[in-house]
Amino acid sequence: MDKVKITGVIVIIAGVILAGFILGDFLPTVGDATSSANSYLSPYYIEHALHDTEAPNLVTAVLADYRGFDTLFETCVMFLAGVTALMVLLSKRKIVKGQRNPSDTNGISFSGTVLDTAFRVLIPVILIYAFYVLAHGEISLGGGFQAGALLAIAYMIDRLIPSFQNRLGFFTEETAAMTAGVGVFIYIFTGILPMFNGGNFLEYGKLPFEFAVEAAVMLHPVGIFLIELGVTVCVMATIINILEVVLERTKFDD
Amino acid sequence: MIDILQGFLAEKGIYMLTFILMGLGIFGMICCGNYMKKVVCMNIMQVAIIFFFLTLGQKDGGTLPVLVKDIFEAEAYINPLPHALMLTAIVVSLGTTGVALALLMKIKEIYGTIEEEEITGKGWKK
Repeated sequence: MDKVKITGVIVIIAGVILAGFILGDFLPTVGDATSSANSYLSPYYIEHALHDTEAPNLVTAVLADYRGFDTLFETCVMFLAGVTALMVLLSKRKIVKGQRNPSDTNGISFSGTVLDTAFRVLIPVILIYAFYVLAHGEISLGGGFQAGALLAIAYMIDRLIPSFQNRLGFFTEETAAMTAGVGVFIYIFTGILPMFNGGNFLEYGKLPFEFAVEAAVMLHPVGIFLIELGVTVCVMATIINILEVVLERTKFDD
Repeated sequence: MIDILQGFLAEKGIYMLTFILMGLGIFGMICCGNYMKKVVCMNIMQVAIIFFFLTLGQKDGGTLPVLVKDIFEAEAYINPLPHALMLTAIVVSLGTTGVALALLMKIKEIYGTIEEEEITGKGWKK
C-alpha cells in the first residue's frame, strides 16, 4: 500500500530530524536544575507559594490560585466537551424516556459473583478516598480533577454491574450535563464573591468570610477548596454524561 | 564509545523515547483505516506530549512538589509548572476522547461502518 510506505518514510525522516535536534543540544539535560524550564518562574512559585497562598501542594497552588483563570476555562472546556457529546448524539429520541432498567444495560453484561462481591466492598472505599482527595487537595497530593474522576469511577462501576440495581444512579445524560453546568457555576460564583468585597475576580484574599479567619491569607485555602469543589462536580458530571450518552446508543449487534 | 552512548541515554535518551511514541501516534493517525484506531493513536500522541513535558520539569535530587517543613529552596523540589499544565492536558484529552467517541457513534449510525475506505467508497446511505 503506497500511502503507508510514503507516510512511513515521512515519519522516519521526521524522526531523524528530531534526533538531530536532540544531538545538536537543543533540549536541556534531564534533571538539570538550571535549565530554562526550571529557572525563571518556577523558583518563584516554589519559594513564595506557602507565603502567598497557604497551600503546601505547589501544583494546586499554581493550578487553582496563581493560574485560576486558566483552570476556569479548562473546566469550561470539559463542560463543553460533555455538552458537545450530548448534542451530537441527541437527535434520535429515546424509546422509553427517563426509565432505567438496570438488569438490561443494552446488552452489556459484567455480572457475576466475583465482580459483585469485590466491587460491593470497593465502592464505599473509592467514595471515601474521593472525598479525602478533594478535601486534602491543597495540603497533600490530590485535587479537584482527581476527585471528580474517582467519583465518576464509583458511579461507572455501579452503572455497569447490573446486579447492583444502579443504586447511585439518578443521572440521565441531561441531568449530568446540567450538573456539570452547576460545577462551572460554583467556580464562577467563587470568582465573583470577592467582587462584593472590593476585590478582583478570583482574588481569594477578599472573600467575604474574613470573620472566620485571623489573616486574609487564610482565605486562600477556602477559595481553593470552593473552586476545587466546582471542578470536581464538573469533571464527575462530564464523565458520567459521556458514559451515559454513549451507553444509550450502544448495541453490540454486530 | 560505550561511555558516550551511556551518557547520551542518561541525559537525553528519554526524549528519544517520547519522540518515538509521538511518531507512532502520528503515523497511526495518518495511516490507520479504522476511525477507532485513529482515536487510540490520538491518545498515544497525547501521552507522548505529557511524558515530554514531565521530563522537562525533572530535577536531580528533587522531591515531590509538596512543601516539606522548613525546606524552601527551589532546588529541593521538582518543577510544579509542567505538572499543573499536564493535569489539565489529561482532562482535555478525556474530553476530546469523549467527543471523538460520540462522533464515531454518529458515523456508525449514518454509514453503518467506521472503516474509512468503506465510507469514502459508499457515500451517504439514504
